[in-house]
Amino acid sequence: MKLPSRMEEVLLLIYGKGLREVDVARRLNVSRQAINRALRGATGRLSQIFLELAEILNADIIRVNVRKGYAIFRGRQLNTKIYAFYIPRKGIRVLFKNGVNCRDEELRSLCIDIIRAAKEWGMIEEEEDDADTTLRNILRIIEA
Amino acid sequence: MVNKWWPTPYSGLPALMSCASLLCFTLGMILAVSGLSSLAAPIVIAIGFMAGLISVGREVRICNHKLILGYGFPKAIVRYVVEDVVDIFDVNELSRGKLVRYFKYHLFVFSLIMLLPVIYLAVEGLYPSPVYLPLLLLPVFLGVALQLYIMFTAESYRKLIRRLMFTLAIVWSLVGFIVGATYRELYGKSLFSDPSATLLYFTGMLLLAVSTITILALRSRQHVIIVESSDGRFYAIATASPNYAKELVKLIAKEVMVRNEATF
Repeated sequence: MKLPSRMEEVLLLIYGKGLREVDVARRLNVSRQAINRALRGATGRLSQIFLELAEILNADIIRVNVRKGYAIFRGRQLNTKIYAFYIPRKGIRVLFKNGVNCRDEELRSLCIDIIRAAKEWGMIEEEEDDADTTLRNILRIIEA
Repeated sequence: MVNKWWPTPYSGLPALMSCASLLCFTLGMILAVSGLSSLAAPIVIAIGFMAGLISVGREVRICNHKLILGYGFPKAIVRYVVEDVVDIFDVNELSRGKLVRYFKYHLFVFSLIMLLPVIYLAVEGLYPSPVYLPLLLLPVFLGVALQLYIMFTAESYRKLIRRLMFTLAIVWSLVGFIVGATYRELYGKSLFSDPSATLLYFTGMLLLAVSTITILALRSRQHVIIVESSDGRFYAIATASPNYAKELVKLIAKEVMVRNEATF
């Protein structure tokens, strides 16, 4: 579940870094119309990914945000919240509410991925000293 | 037939109309009670009524990957076409989701409709008659109910309502006591000895109770879906139940957000 790299790049430059379409077009040496099409295509594809994920997880959609690359679901069976983040160059990572302790060896890389993605998508600027606190801050941001 | 979902007038022209309607009703009520002008009050209330009709959410349609929101009664006369949806969510399902975050200026209007009757009461007192007090308090209670609704998360709002009902009962009893005591002091007789004053008082109290409880109860049941377009505008859609909310979020995500565009 990954976006083509060019689409991903456009999405991150516009929504993550806040660049204008015309600046991105200049930087990538393509027309502004091409950037606009790529942006629409990327947001459409990302929405499709989140929808497919909801089906796979058997969950209802609470939120889909393609501007910041995340979605929130509620599992139909366990009635628990599920957070999905689009990690640039890696694809989707899923986090179950109250299910992550960043000090845990196995989950550390998931925390690092999500925190890195939140920075790339422009959700947070700086991370806290503690990964758990940073992750909680990210969840607070997307729950508001 | 009961609609599954309908647009709410929180943004654009419908929001302006809805705010104008609330303000006109409040001003009309004050003008009518004060008896300053026999002509101004019905005109202001009629303007408020017309503005209210324009702001009524009428239709939510999805057509050619576009979300169409129609406002107006009996026919939709204001339409918004939302094409590039970048964020959609059920605000009731978010643990920190508050409507005021997205529709801030409503807070100002709700405060204003709450303050206008209070200012009138502070300046004029219970003139011309204390039996009008419940009618004057109507915008105050509505203003408070609406403010609480947009300022609290859905979960906190539900908890608050349970406690608020008890407080409301006390406040209404107090209002009744103030009206009765002031009436006796002014006219030297019981309020219930004058049938027209009694009728006016009970009508006011009934309106006050019914409208406040209706707003508090209805708002605690409905879910609100917020849609953000790529130009940063927010639109709100109310749904009759949580299940309809889930259905609508999925429908918009599937039919409006998912597109297949060619890329470079």
